[in-house]
Amino acid sequence: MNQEALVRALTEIVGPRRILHRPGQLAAYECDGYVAQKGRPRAVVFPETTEEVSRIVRLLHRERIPFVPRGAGTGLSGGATPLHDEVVISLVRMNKLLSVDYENMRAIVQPGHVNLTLSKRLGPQGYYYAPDPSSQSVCTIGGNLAENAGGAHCLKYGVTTNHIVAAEVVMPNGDVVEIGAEFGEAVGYDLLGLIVGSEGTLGIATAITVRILKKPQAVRTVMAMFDRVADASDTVSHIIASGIVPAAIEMMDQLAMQAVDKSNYHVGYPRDIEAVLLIEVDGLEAGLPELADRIIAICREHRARSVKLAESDAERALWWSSRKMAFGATGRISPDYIVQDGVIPRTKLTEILARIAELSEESGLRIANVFHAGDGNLHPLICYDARIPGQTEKAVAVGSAILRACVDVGGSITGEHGVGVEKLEEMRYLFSDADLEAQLAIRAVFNPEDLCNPGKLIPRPGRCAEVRDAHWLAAKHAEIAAGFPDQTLTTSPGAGA
Amino acid sequence: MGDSMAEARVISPQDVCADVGQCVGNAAVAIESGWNEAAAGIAAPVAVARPTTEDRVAALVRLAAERGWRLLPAGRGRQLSWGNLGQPVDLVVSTAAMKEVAYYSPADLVISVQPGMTWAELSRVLAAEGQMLPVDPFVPDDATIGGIVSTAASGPRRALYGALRDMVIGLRVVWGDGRVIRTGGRVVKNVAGYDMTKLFIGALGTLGVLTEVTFKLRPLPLHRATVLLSGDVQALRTVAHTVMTSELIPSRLELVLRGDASRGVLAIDCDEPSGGAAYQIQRLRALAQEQGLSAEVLDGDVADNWWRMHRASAMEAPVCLRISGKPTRLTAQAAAWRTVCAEAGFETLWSITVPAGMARIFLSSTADADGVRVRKLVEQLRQAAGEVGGQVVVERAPAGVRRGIDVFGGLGASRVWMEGIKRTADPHGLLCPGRFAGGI
Repeated sequence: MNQEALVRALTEIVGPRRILHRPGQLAAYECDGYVAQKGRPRAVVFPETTEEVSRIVRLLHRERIPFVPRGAGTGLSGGATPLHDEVVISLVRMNKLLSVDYENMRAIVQPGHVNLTLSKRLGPQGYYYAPDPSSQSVCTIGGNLAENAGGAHCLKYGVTTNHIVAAEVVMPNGDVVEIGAEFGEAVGYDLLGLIVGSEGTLGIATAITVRILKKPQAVRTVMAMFDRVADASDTVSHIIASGIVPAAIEMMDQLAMQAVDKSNYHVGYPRDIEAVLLIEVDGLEAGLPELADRIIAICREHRARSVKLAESDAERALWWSSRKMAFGATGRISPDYIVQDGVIPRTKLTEILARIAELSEESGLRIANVFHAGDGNLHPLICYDARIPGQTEKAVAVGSAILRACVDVGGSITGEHGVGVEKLEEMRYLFSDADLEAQLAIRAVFNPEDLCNPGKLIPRPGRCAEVRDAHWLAAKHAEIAAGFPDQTLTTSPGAGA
Repeated sequence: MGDSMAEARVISPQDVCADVGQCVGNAAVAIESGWNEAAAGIAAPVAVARPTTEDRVAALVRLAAERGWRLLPAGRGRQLSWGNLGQPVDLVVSTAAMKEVAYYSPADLVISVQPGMTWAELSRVLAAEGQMLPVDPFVPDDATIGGIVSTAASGPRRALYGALRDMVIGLRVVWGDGRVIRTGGRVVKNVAGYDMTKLFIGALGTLGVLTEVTFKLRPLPLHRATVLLSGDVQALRTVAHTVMTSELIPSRLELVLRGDASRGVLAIDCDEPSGGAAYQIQRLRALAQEQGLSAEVLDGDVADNWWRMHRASAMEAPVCLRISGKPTRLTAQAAAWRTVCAEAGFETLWSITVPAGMARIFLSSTADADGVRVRKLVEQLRQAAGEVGGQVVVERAPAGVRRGIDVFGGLGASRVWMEGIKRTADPHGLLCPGRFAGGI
C-alpha cells in the first residue's frame, strides 16, 4: 500500500481532521522524552474509540505496516519513538474518565487520561490513584501501563502493575480482548501482568480499570541532612530493618542539591553536606507520631547533622517540588545531561555510590545522584557538554558502566523508565541469550511479525551495538529534555492533592 | 492437546522408573499411587522423581520430552485437588527435595527459595528476621511454596497486601522443552524486559517446572490486633462497606458466615502501629455500637490463633468454591446464595474477603462421592452469580467432583493467546495437559 492509499484508508477510519501526514506536521512525533534517536513516522492518527483503534490496527496488520502506540510522549527510553517508518497511533484523544465506583474502589479510564487528572478528579471524594511518576502532571495512564511506571511512593504502594486490574486491549492483529478481572482472580494465564510493562509491543490498551485508594488520613515528612553519604545509606537500611514501611524515602547528593536550589523551589541546602534524605510516612494520624519519632531517632543515631519534620503542607510541598524538579534543574548546572535508571539491592547503596564517584573521577564528568533510596532505584544524572568533542560518547559510556555496576551488585538496568531503544544492549548485562530468546518467543505469540512497536524492549540475540551511534544525537537535542515543562506534582496525595 | 497421540501409547511406570533412575539415581525415583488419582481421577501408579538440583530437573524434563512422557510438576502433593482433571501423567517431577533458601537479604526485604520449601518453614525463616510474606492462603501448613505460587493461592490478607502476583519478583523455571529460563530479578523495582514472572503464577505447572522463587517481603507488623464484630449479617455488611471506604486501614476485612443463619462475624485486622491501632479499634467499637453489634478485641498471638482456627475449619471442608465480583454485590447476594446452598443440602462456611471481591464457600457435606450435587450447585451458582457479573470457580474439590466440569468456567476471547503461550513454553504439550483453564 503506498502512502497515498494508506492516508486515504486511515482517513476513512478517523476522518480528515484526526490524521497528520504532511512532513511538516510530523516533527513532534519523531521521538519521546529520550531524544537521542529520532525517526519520522509515516503518519499520525488520533482515534477516539476502541473500534477505531481496532480498525486502524487491523488495516495496518493486513498491510504489514508497522505502528507505534503513543501517549503523552514523556517516556525516557524511546519506547514511543518511530524508527521503522511506523504509523503513530496517538491515544491522547481517548482521554476520558469512563466511570468511577467509589464504593468498590475502581475507576475505568481511557488510555489518554492523564495520571494526575485522575487523582484530581477523585480528590474531592477523598480518593486517589497511587502510582505517581514525576511526569504525572502530563503522562497518561495508557503510557504508565505500557511502561509499568513507578514513582516516589511505590516503596509502600507498589508500581503500576499492582494497581491495574483489568483492561480492554486491541491486540496486534486488531482483535479486541478483555483481560484481567475487576475483582478477584482472572481465569487463565496472567495476560494483564504480561502486557503491563510490555512497552506497547503486545497490544494497545483502550480502556483501563484501576484500583483507587482512600487518601491516607495523615502524613509526616522528615528531612535529614548528612555530612557523609554512607550515614544516609545506613539510615535507609536501618529504617527498613526497624519494621517501618515508609511511603517514600528519597535521597539527593550535593550536586543534585545545588541543581534544585537553582530551580524555582529553593530549599537552601548547606553546601558542605553530602546527602539529604526525604522520608515520608502516612496512615492513621494517631499512629504517625511514634513512627516519625522513631525515624528521627534513627537519623540522629547515624549522625544526621540536622533532622526536621515538615511543619506545614507548604513546607512539605516545597521539599517534594525540590526533589521532583531534580531532572529539569540539572539543566541549570550543565549544558547537557543523561538520566540513568539503575536499580540495586538497597544495601549496596554506599558501594554503588563509591563506584559512581570513581566513574565520575575517571571520566572527568560530574554526576548528580537522585534516588528512590527506599527501593534502590538510582537516577544518576551524568553532566556533560556536547560542544566538547568526545564528551557525549564518554557520557554514554559512563551511563552504561553505571548500569553494568548495578547488575554486578545484583540489580537491574531499569526500575521505571523502561528499556525502549535506549537500553536494548544493556539487557544483555542482565539476561542470557536463552532468557532473551524466551522473551522473544513470548512476543511472537502476540506480535509475530514485530509490527506492533517494532525493535523495542528485547535485543535480538547475537546482535550488538545497533543503537550506539545514535546516542550522539542526544547531545544535539538535550535542550528538549531540559525544556520539559515543570512535571512536578506540588503535593502528593496525602496532603490533599 | 495431544489427546489422540496420547491414546496410542503404552508407557509402563516401571520403564519410566528405570530410565529416570539412570538420569537422577535410583534413590530419587519410586512408583507411587495417589498422584494420578488426585490430579487425573484415574487409578494409575506413576513414577515419581524427586530431583535435588535444577540441572536434574532440566535433565528429567528433556528426557520426558524425548520419550513423549506426560509430566506433572508437583511438590508434596497437597494441592492436587486444584484445577481441572488433567490427563493421566507418566512422570511426576516433585521438587519437594529442593527446599533450601537460595538467597536471603533481610535488609533488602528479598528472599529466593527453592520451590519445595513449605509455607510453614518459609514463615519460620522470615519470622526469625522479623519479616513475613503477607499471604495467608487456605492450604495446609506443609504445602510447598512451588504449589502455592502455581495455584496463585490467596487468603484474607489480600485485602491490604494484594496477591502473590504482587509479591513474586523473579523466578527460575524449566520450560517444557528442558530449557532453563530466568525471569525478573532480585530487586523490588524492575522493568527490564517482559514481566514473564506473572505467567507462571497460577499456571498449575502447565508452563514449566519452577526451580526457584524470589519474593519481596514485608516487616512483621509492629503491632497486631483483630477486632471481631458479631451479630446481624445486614449490620455487618454495613460496617464492612463503611470500613472499606473510610480512613481506616484494615489488613484483613473478612466476613465469616456459617450455614444460612442471619448472624455472622466480621473480622477486621489492624497491622498499624499501636497508636493507630488504638484509634482504629475505638472507631470500630463505635461503629459496632451504632449497628447493635458486639465487639471483641484480640491482640498478638491470640489474634493469630483465631485466624489459624478459622483456616483450619475451612480446610476440613473437602470442597471450596470461589465467587468473584463487586464487593457490594457479593455481600448483597450472599444471603440468596446461601439459601441456594442450603436448599441443595450443603452445610457451608463462607469467608468473604470484602475489599478483594472474593467469597469462598467451603462445603462440608461429603455425602456426594460422585459429585453430582456439587456440580449441580456450581451450575446454579454460576447462573445466579452471572446475573450480577460474578464468576464462580471451583477452587479445590476431590477428583470425583471435578469430573465432567470446567472448574474455571471456561475462557473467553483471550483463549487463543493463552494457547499460544502454552505452545511456546511447552511445545510438545507434555506438562499436565488438560489441567488448566479451558482444558489447556
